Amino acid sequence: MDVPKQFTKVSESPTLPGKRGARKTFDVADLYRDPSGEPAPDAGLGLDEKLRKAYFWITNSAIITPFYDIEFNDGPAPEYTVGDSKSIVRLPSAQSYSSFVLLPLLTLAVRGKCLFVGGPGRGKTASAIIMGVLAGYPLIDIKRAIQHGQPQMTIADLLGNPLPADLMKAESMDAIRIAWRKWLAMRVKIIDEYNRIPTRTQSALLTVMADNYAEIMDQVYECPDAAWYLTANDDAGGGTYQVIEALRDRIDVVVHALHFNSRFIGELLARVDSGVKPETLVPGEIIFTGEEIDRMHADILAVEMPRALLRRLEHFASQFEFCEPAGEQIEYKTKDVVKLAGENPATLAERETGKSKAKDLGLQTANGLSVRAIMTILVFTKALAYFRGAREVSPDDLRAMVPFVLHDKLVQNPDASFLEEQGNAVYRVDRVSWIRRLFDLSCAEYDQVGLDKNDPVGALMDAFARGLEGVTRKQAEEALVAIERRMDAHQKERKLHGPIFDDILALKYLHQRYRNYLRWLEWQG
Amino acid sequence: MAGLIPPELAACVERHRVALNAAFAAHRAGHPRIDADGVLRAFASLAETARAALADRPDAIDALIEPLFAISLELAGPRGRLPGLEAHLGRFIALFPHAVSHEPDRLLRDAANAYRTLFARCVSAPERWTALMAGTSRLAPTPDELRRYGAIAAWRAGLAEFRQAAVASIGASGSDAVRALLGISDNVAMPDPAAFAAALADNPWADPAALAAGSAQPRACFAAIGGFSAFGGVFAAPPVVFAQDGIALAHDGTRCFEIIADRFGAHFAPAGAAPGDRIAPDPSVVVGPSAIVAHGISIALRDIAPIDANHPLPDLPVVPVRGSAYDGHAVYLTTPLSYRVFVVGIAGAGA
Repeated sequence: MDVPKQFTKVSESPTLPGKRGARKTFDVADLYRDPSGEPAPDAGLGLDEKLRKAYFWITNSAIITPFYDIEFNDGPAPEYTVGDSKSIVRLPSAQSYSSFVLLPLLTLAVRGKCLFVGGPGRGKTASAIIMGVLAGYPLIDIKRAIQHGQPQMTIADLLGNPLPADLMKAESMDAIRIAWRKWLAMRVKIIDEYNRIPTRTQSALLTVMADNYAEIMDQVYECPDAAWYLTANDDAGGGTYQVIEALRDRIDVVVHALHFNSRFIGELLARVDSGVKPETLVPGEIIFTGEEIDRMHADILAVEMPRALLRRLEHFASQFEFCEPAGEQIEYKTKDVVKLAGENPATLAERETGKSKAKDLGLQTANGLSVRAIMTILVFTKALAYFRGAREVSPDDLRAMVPFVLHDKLVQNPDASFLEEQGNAVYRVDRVSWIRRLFDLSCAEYDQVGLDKNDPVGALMDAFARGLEGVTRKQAEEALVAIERRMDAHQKERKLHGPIFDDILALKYLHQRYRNYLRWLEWQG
Repeated sequence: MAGLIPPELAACVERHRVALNAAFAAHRAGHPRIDADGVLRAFASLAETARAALADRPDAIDALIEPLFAISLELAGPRGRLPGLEAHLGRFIALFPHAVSHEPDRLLRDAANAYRTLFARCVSAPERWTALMAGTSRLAPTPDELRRYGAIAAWRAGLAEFRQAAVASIGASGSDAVRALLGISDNVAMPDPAAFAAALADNPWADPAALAAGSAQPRACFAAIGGFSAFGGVFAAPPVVFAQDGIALAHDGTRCFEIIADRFGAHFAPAGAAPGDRIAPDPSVVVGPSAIVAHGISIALRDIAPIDANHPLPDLPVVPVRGSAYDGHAVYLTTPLSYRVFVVGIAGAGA
């Protein structure tokens, strides 16, 4: 049967004209790779272009997802207000992307963990299967390796069985060999409907996801680094079993399977007529070898995060953990302390007085950001910048990626005053927009305070980061005076917010480090 | 930049590429103005030196790549702007490739710190240290031996504060290394290192070579130490020496220093505020027209041999002495117009 050309056509290069090489980035490979700019055989260039080609093949030929919810603009973008709710529709001026395809692809590139959520029949599993094919696995192997969550799923179903003969003959546990399930050895792992897996089996899955090994009867199987794809019909607790929090926390990004746009039924008809299954037609030129994925991951990690942007992320991340009534000592004024005591941070936050409850971003959440969440933001933001052909993360990359990483990690405080305000009720259900709004509000505050130009604590941190070696007694004493002056300034401000809380703790840290250094200098004579 | 390193080294660097790029990114977070090309140049130079020095053990270079890159990051930063540090480190690696390949992180950092400390004392000290160390390269020292040799060479190169560590190292080192580091002739039968170290410990102004040979030494030797701070010395104003609890101290009006001096150099350790009422010449030191008498020991001026011909003994009977001190091994004198402290070291005074 002839396959219509549209299903096998890969976009021509460049997929992102005129974008590459905005700024030279450091790469030790400059010492030996071809200076002409052409990809040297082993230098790992051009994989971002291959990744983009894969993206465009999926969106153009495989998955009908005519959405551009990750918007980028490089100039004025027309805006329209529609409906009674006065929703704003922008027509992006720069290349924009569908999160449903882009995020799974980035997950493949960084070997992360992606959760698809959405109703049945929206292409969640199909999308995961295509990622497996892109990673170089035969379709049949991918399909056989999918772990389908169901209420009777046992640990043996998931991981493997002890060999019956060994069970009979073995004189010690060491002698029992395990027939490990083949999926454990794959570099793409797909868990379908993970919220239907019984809790005990979820714990076994957690070990594989978190620590990359499986264990049965004291036998251990080390798994390779892999990209994980999980699906859930209803991630808000509608599965057969509640997903254990540790497992949920291991998920890096959450992607919504959006609805099917009825204007594209014609494309469905074309597939029905031709009997085409796109996952069987993945062009060879967009299939990645394991070595290529390794290299791509390394290239992504080499993408630079500018200091100013990192400072903006610090400001955003500092908004959420602080809870003033939680403790007496400054270090314990956190939501985590409240939760450990079995209290609800939202209830406690209500006792706070003197602050604008609608403006304090920390009051909108019931928790803060974990280290894992911040690391995931950094990695996926770099991956997005890499995908967009940049050597450096831009504010747009960060803004685009934060909602998908924090989707399940930042828990909303349903009693927050902000959500009661007119027009904000939508944020109770649209978590992506809510988190993006939080980020925008944090950036607005950052700009209003002028932290890009005047960040005294940042300057002290930068000076300290340059190291204490060679710092004279006079310089250390000057730093201590500067820290104490900054503390005086905070004392006068009276109101405490998340960013100030983190600044105060940072100042205390710096003060202690310089104090210890001075003591050491005195001892040294 | 491409082609700076040969293909076999390139293959090795490629294996560490992710780690090296990540190390650079982490370093740049704290040092945004770091010279990336400078890092690559320093790294290429050091890595190539190491590769050439380890030609007999090509596998060993792998363990050196990341430590060499870490030190290259320092070389391109403000702490690396020491003239010739990269070249000195290159020579060090070339002299001791096997020891460095065993403990690359620590040894490279130790060596870089040693060169910085030596340079801070005297611009030519790093060269002297490398030359002394070169004498031990044929012994293929282990990392621990190399650290001991480094302490001895640092003392010989002018870091008097290393004397105790150096003497202890001499006692623990082999005869061949001690001979090479202290310049003892091959014709001289080496004494037992432990006994030799004990003799050196008792006599900071003895010439080790003469001591080993058992030959006669001058009764006393002379050195001029300190100098004007604006010319790289120590004192902002002509200092005054005085003794306190058997320790010689120098005070220049604002700061006070403990003097640690011996035949090979001097160190001025900050000693806090000077006790104003105690700054007075040592009454037991008397400078006469033909001799200096300290605590009953008389040294004829004609018996005092200058260690450095560029700094002869001043005309002491004519120049008035402003401060004096005796610490059991040497007499320290200062004059009203000189920024230097004049030291008369007495061989065998402490024996």
